[in-house]
Amino acid sequence: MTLSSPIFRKLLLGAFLLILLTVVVLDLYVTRFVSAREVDAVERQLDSQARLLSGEVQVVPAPELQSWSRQAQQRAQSRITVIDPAGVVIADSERDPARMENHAGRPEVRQAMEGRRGVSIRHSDTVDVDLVYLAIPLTYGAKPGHVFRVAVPLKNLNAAIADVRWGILRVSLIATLAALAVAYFITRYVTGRIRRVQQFAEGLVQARFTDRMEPEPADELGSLARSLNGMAEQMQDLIERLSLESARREAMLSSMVEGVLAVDHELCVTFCNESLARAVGARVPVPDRLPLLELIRDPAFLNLLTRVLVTGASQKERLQLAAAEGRSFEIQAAPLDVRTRRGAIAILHDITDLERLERVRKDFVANVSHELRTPLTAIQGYAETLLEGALEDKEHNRRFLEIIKSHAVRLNTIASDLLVLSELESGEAAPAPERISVRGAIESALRSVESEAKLRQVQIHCGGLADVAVTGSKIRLEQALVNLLDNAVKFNRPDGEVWVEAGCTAEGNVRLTVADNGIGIPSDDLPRIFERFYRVDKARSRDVGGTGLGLSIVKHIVERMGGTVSVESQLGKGAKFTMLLPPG
Amino acid sequence: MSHFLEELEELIKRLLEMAGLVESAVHESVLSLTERSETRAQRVLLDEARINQMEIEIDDQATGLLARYQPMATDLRLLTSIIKINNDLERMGDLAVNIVERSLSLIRQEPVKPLIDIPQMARLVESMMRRSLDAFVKRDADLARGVLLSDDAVDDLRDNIFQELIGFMQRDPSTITRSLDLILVARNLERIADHATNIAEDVVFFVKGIDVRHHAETRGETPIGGPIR
Repeated sequence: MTLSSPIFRKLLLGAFLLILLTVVVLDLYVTRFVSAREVDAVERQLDSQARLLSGEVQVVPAPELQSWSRQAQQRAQSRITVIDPAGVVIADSERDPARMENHAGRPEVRQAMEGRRGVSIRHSDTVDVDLVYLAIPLTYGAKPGHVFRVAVPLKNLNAAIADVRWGILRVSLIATLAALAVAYFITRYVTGRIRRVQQFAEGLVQARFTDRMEPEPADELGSLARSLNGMAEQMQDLIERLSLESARREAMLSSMVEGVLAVDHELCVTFCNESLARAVGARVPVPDRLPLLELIRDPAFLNLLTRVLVTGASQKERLQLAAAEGRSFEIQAAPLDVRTRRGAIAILHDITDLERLERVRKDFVANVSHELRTPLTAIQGYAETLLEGALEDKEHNRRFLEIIKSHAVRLNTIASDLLVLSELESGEAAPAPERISVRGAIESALRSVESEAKLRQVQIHCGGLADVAVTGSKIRLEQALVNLLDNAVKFNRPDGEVWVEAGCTAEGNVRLTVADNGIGIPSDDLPRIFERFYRVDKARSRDVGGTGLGLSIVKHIVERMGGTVSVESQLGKGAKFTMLLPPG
Repeated sequence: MSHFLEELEELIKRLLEMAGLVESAVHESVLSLTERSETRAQRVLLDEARINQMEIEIDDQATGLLARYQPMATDLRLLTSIIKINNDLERMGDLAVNIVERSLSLIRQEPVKPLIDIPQMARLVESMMRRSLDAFVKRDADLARGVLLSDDAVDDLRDNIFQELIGFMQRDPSTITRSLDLILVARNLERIADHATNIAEDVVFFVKGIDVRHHAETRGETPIGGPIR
């Protein structure tokens, strides 16, 4: 791992270059030093030889000079040359002086002629070695101006330098190995730390913001690690705040009653809250970028969103969505630009119930006008007839007036029923709730319908009246019972029967039932009979003086008392109304 | 994603777009009758051309995919289902136009009777359409099987309507044209339901690889083409 690390390789290369440079410099220096020392030693040796031999040579006669020089070479291991003041070689231990050129130009000879000691190192072509020449002035045959020269080859010098070089090479090899080891350990230490920082940084890239780095030594890497730690902390903080924010928004959008839907430019869903998902029967959560078509296929809705995407203008529309089982929505759609890409957001407000209420209200107003118009038209008609002369007609005037009166009574009944209804709906002027004995309420209600029952030959059975009580308004409960009993008696046939019962359910609620074996209610009408002015048989209802509000009033009273009312019926076999009230 | 899957997704989008158009056409055709609205009727007639155009396009695209990629197993079943559903949808569009034609003739005359059974039948048929297409979207075989079970209820409603209208015609021959129109509406609705059933069967086939056509279900499930991936 460390060996393949680029840092290790660079460090090692650096160390190697440094060592190489040192070795080269050292080699140059040592070579020079060693050769200087060697030359110096040779010089000294030559110097003493020269002085010794020059003393000897002064007494050698000229003819024997050549043979002496040969013999002296044997002793001194040096080449010996004697030169006269003109520079002519008069003896040489190695060559024939007659054949040798004039030596006056040689540097060492020139110096010696000037009376100094001359030294020179020159390559000798004859023997192909470097030679050190040393020349001193010599007085020969009482004539000064002669020169005595000795020379030795420098062959020992290269050997000495090679020795030193070898030593240097060994030492630098050891140094290189040591540098390698040091580089290895430093690299391992540094790369290890770098790697930890790098891994931590990669963790940040992969959004692991909760990790922290161990404390590092206080150098550059350490401060980098601390900076990264600080960054991670800030990012964690930021992410937490953002996710909290988005969770809050998500929660807000999810808990909205209105459906919220966002789509991108390709009509793929980017957000759909629970309310809408439930309305269109989709699984929650809706997968991201689900094509909108897989959620809602209604062309009108797709059109609406496409229009928003194309024009970039908000749109508002009421639509019935088949995807939401035909429920009606008021849809507000607006462009939603996210990073230059245009999307759209739609808020769907379910107005199905609202529309139904609107319809009910419209129907109600129409019904009230209609209900009021019928008796008023009759009153107007008969009053006009009377005014146009029927007043004098003894035979009819009384009957006409009675008809007028009965319609006025009817108007009055409708008005008071409407008043009761509006009172019940508005909740105003409600008497303080009291404890009511159900038996008492039933008995007083029975008294109100007694005469009517007798007239229509309907038998009322009152059995199994448990002694139970409820809380509410006594008058209201009696009114509800009267309305039910009145219906049971009026929508009956001669010799019909009515049963009133009161008891408790298993849950402890009070159950009041009014059943009859009269004409019954068609099943199609059952769901609507508690609506205001809803009549199963309009003609018959008016004949018996009904306003169409009786059951509506019953329903309101029962609901005000916190109970429910239901009906079961079979056409021709009678009907059974059941009130369930909480116990008092 | 591969080119094939991309194109397949695009094709499904187109099919669903067409499905939306057809659903809306059927819905509007019934509303044109119950609300006696000529504008709604005109809308259906306008959409019809678009539906036919889309059918041809989807067909071309689907056969093109088949020819170019020669898909296997699930992809193949999906493609063949798309081709069949496309065909069924187009027929449903035609039937909606038939209903509109009847309704246009009925609007100009006094109603024979308050419409109760036909709207009820229409609701059931529309729900079958919606559920069969939802089953296709969600690849939900159980939802598709539920559609198959509704078919009998639609047939019963149609029989009721026929009986009732035959009674009207016998009692009062002046209602014969209008009653016949209503009978035709019921007949068209029932045929739309049949196409919805076809779609549901295709969905079961595509999801499970099981052929449930012609009540194969009662004879036990017959897996096709070995294990289903």
